[in-house]
Amino acid sequence: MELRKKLDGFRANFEADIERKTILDNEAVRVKRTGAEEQALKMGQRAPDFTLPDMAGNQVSLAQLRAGRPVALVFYRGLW
Amino acid sequence: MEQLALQEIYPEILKVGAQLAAITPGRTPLPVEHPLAQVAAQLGVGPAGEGRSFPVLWDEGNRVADLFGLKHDFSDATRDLYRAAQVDLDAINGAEAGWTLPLASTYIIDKAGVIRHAVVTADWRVRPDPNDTLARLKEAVADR
Repeated sequence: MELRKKLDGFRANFEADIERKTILDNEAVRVKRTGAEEQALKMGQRAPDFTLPDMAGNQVSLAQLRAGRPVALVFYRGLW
Repeated sequence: MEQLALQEIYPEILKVGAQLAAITPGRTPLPVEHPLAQVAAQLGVGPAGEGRSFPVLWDEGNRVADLFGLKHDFSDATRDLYRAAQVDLDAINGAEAGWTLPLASTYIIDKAGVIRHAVVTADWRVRPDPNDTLARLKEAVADR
């Protein structure tokens, strides 16, 4: 996939600076050490319902998304 | 940027009878003069959310991320790095979110609303393969 390659290239470029990469590596380790991953909801727990605006400003709830279907929820960090 | 790969599999997700939504603290679209918006424009993809056919939901202040136990803060070193790279989260994510982010995560919610599978990682650079997400949704569709 051409686009994927470009994006990977962008990230590789961003992390090419070794100092920068080290900070990002350290950050991942630091967050892990805070036990943040263990705080997250896990398999078998009920997903809390919520309502958020989509990018057009429409209010969308988890209940609406589900509507008897399974749903994948992907949390990401802005553009990353 | 993960959403670009998700976009590719979205038609298949709908076809198998499942749904997908992305949740981000990012206020979009970014101002056109923003470096990241320019990169996106060069790639011809537009800013986050734009041109995506699946729902991209704005989680202002990471409130829903907090409900899922995913909200975390930044180290000063990382904050400085982002600032130096002109990645100003106050501008991107809104001052209310401050310098907090969700852990990068992919949840599969089953038909009954229970978490069927969760991938939660402190290293946001490692994400599940969208094809795995699709495969898990297919399994969840087959649940009775």
